[in-house]
Amino acid sequence: MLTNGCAREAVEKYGDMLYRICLVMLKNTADAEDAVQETFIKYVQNTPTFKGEGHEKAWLITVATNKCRDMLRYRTRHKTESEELLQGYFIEEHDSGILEALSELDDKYRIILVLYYVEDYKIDQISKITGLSVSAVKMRLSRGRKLLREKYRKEYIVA
Amino acid sequence: MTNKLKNEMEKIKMPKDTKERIIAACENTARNKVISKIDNDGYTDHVFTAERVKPKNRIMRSISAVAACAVIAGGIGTTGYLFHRNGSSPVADVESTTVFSEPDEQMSNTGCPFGDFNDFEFSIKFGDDGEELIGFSDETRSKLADFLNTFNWGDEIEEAEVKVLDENEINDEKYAMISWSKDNKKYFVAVSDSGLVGAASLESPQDLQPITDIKYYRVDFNAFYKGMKDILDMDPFAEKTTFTACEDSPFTDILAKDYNVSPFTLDFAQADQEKYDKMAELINSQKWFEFDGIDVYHAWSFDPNRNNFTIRCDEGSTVSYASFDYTDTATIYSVTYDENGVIADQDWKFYRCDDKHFGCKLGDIFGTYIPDDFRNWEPDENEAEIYEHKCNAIDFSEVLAWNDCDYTVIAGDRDERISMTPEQIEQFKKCFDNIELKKENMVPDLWAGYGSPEFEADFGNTFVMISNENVLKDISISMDKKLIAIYDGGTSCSSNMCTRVYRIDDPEQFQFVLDIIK
Repeated sequence: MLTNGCAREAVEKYGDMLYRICLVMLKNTADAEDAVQETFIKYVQNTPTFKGEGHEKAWLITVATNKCRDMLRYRTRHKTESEELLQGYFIEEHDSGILEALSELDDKYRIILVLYYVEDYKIDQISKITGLSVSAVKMRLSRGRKLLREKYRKEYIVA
Repeated sequence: MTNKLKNEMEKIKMPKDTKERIIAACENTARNKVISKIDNDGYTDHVFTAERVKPKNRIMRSISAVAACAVIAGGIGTTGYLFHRNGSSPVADVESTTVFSEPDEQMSNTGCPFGDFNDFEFSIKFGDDGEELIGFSDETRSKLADFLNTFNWGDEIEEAEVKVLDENEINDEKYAMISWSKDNKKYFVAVSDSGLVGAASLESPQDLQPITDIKYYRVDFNAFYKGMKDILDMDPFAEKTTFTACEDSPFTDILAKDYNVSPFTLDFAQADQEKYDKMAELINSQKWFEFDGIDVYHAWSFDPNRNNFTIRCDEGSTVSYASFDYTDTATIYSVTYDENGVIADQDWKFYRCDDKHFGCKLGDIFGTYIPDDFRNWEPDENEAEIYEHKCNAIDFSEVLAWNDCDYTVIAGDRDERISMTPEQIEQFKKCFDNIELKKENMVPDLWAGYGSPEFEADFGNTFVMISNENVLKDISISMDKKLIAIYDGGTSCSSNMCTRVYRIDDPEQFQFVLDIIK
């Protein structure tokens, strides 16, 4: 667990992880950076007390995903001109079909898949982080996995 | 595929310069915090372990809420009553609230720090919406008093410890409140599921005052819960859903007809008789219990899908469905269409059986692949999953109060967003005057959720979006003008099943809405 309020230590340890999550949710590098920054500022401002490292990480993810949701909601209401497609980023940076397929899924599936398969959270933990019911997480995971498989195979393997 | 996803995702790194920028921003924030602290308080010690500004803990909020109700119910003026919050201006010493300030007076020879419950006409309330249990029989009251007198309340804990607990107890969702009056004082003891206990007393004030002082204890909540449950012969925290045992299997009729099945698949198909026989035998071997599931299972798709084992039976203009999830829950839905294909009549019923993996067993008969997550699902003893789908009911009177929202007509087919004018908003709101959406008018969401292709087939894809930072609600009216659907995407609903659909009694009342979204 980090020393309370130590920004450098926190950013070094969790920065990449939060950036990945925000990027997947927002599909926009600039917005993702903003969301991560605001998350860490909140961390420094509040200096919450954590039970352990897992609790601390979950807290950061919860704050970051809430921030992303706020930004998405803002986008819904104020159509932005600057939204870049994550596909472009992935093609440029990673040349990987799986991430392009992921980026084409609805955001409600993207975050669940990332938390489960990338960050190795269990379903009940994802339920707590996202505020969704366990069954909703299961459902999204199941559907998201299926959709991802279909998109990946159809567009990036068959083609 | 999932390993590839993990590998590829882990290659994503935040640019170094971005990290440095964020670190600088954080350090700047921290510096400002120190400066601000020096300016305000004149000292800098322990700034980074400064108390977090956050709302009061659940115990204090619960006691405050119940105390307010108690005093209001007693006819005492409410002028000036404020819920005190941490971080707000310090409240001057309030003489009207004391917290068992004379422990010797309260301490009984039972060792209970609150006194002898046999001497109190206490009442008990469970949870936010719990009704007070005041009508105990003498025998139950005596058992409860004995239990509360001898319960291990432990020693009072320091406020610093409470703060640490308060920061960390994120699942503090249930509480029990015991209250009584004595010598013109009202006493409260609140027990939360984190084990934190708060005790306060309230003198009868001329003006209602905030409770500012609470004594805290730490107890074994499970022991408290079990003791109360055993005496009350009920689960005090359970939702009040009644399960009525069915005399016979409710599925007998539909299984006696010709039907197709979609065993957690995307299409209906005929199966061989052997499988049908095994399925019927399994279904009819269960003891089924009917319950009112409209609140909790309002989102239920009867289209073939991966989450339901569905049986469909066509008889003339009537279609009947029986649908089972992976666990223990089932629905029977019957719909009759008129000559124009419009629904003339429909009915649905909800059932549960005792086998938590019943749905998986159905799938096994048909050789359906069932994910381990579903196969291994175990209900939480304290929070049955059936209740997790429950959304807050949508109160339509809310619509009239949504003054600070944007009202936008979203025309999906033309990809247009049109902001409503103030006059249009006024007219829109008028449509909802005197509207009461009754539970009996609610219909299950048979369209796989707001915005799904099935939904758009019946409701179109033009709707009104009402939104601000905290509110996101979409309103659609079906093309046959018989139904209104409301999607709640705001913070009041934590589930994804937040589409509520109601029958409309008087379509003309919504003419303006229909005009604006046509």
